[in-house]
Amino acid sequence: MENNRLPLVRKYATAFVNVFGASFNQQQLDAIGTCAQTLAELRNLIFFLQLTSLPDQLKRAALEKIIIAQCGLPGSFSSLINLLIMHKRSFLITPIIAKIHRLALKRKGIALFNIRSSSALDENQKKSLLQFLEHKTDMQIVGNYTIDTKLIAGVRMQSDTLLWEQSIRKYLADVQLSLTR
Amino acid sequence: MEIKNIDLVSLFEQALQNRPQQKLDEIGIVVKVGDGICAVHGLSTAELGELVSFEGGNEGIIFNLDEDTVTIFLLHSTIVVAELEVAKRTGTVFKIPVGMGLVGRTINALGKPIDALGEVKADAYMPIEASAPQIIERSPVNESLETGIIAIDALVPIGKGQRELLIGNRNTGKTSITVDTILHQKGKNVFCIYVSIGQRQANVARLIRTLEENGALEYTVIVDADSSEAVLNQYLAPYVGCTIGEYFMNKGYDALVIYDDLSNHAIAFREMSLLMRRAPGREAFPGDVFYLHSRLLERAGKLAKGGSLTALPIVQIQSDDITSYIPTNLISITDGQVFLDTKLFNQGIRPAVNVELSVSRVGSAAQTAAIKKVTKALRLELAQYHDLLDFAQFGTELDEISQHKLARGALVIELLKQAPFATYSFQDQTLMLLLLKENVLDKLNKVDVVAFATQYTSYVKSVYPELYEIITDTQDLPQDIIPRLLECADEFSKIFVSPARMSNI
Repeated sequence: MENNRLPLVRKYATAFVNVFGASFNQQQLDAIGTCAQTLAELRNLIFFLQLTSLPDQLKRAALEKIIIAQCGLPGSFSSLINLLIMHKRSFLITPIIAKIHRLALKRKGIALFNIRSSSALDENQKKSLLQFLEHKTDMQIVGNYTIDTKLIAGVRMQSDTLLWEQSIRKYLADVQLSLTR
Repeated sequence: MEIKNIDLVSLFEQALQNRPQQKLDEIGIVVKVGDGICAVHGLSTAELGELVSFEGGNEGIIFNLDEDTVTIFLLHSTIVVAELEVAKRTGTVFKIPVGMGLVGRTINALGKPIDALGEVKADAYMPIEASAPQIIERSPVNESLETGIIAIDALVPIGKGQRELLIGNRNTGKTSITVDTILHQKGKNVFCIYVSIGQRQANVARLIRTLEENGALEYTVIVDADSSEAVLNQYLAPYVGCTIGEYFMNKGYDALVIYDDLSNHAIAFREMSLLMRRAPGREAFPGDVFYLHSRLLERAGKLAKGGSLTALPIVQIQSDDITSYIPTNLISITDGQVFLDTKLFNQGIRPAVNVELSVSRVGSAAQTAAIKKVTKALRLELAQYHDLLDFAQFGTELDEISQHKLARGALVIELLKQAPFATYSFQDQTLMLLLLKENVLDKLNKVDVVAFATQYTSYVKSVYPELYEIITDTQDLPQDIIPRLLECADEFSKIFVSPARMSNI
């Protein structure tokens, strides 16, 4: 997606969250997040949505089947689909849903963090990290845990706008910088 | 990859003692990168001009804040920035080292030394953007900054704290004048900063060698952003030089900064603005190209509490056209200009100062009293000479007075010629111009004028040092010593041998 579309994506997502965002519960928010990931994997969908030769009814039907029927998103997303098709911008559905997920979480005071560690974390460690993040951000933290052996040892916690990392890899990178710059 | 000589043990000790960071870094993600510029999504709280660091080791400066992205120019062209790389706010602006440790050093636009003489010992780190001194902090320009070039010191005098533009076609001697000015500051407690913008590396190397051979590097700082450097470095270089000069000025010293040249600086800024998709204006320059130079040059001045920063910006023109965009901008910003004429240069009149188009708005307030006394009618003589010269080309017969004026003018032109790297002190200039004023040179052949004048000054200095000292101490030419000086001239003329005759002996 070109960078000049980013403001447009944000505007659609902001408008949708302003109208329907208050009604989403946690389960629906999780479904929106999953749907965003699913759509990101369906690259062919975007190609077909950009084809002007395909009739709007077909596009509408395809999007409603994927988003509402299969991903289980609320019915309010039909209005979003109709709006995008009317504006001939249905190919922006993927980034818009991803943005809706992030905005809705933010509105509810929830921050999504990707937490990568060099080895598996036990429950106490996860709780400690979440408490640290909650203390720093004043938000409720939802963690997505993965293993990244490239860290060598340590943890990296990253959201859209914030980063905290304490790892051997970072330390070595800093040492390299201080030696060469 | 060049590795600095740092004790690894102390680095590890430091790391062991450090506690884990307590703050979360504010980050953005690189969405587009290329041509030395990148767009970062996020960084919604970042500020304009803020320094940003990338995880890959590069750094950049924020130049644009858009709704969802910020535009960052990269500082290091050799460190790769990949798409989706994380960019962190540093919370600070770009700063450069300043202090006495920079004197005698050559640095790049990032403040790093490039002369292989080790690290620079900085007294402080200062941001490159700063506000100019306020009106109340300034003092009028009333002290001479001698260039050692008689054509400039006599006719277009420069004072400490003045901004004097050097303008001319390519290869008309603009850089040569600045080199002579730097060489002439030896022993005068003036720190010199030479900023090279978009020049050839060979030229810069030659200049550095010249300064080194003449002992001028001991009080000079070279800031180099040659034509192979990234466009951001060429943009930053003048501000870096100005910041270094400002440090000296604020410490009470006199400093001279030379920007060679600001036309390349404007071109670099134009390239940056076009890459940022800013609307192009006249000649494709952005609308704030005037502000680019005005905020730089306004930082020069003379402070009431002591200290001064004199600026000599250089601008290159095409085909002697001083009415084009950037030159006219700079002419309106500066306190005068020295126009170097290609025609004069090709005629062998060097320095090729076109006196009619050159002006110093500070004027005689920046001249020593001695020079002021002996240059009273000099400009008028030259103006009359040029008028008559045009007239004489028609081949008409001129009256005696006109012929005398033509001859006088030719003598003046001859006296104002000066070889490169051969500067005159104000005392020598006073004596030479006194000879001219009192018509002592009228009897000589044109080819002997410079030799006679320079040898006469040596004669007075060695045989009558008390007269020389009076001029030095008083910075004036007292009326009572003029007859004695003229007697010396008469005495000297009896023993003077023309160089042409000397070569025949």
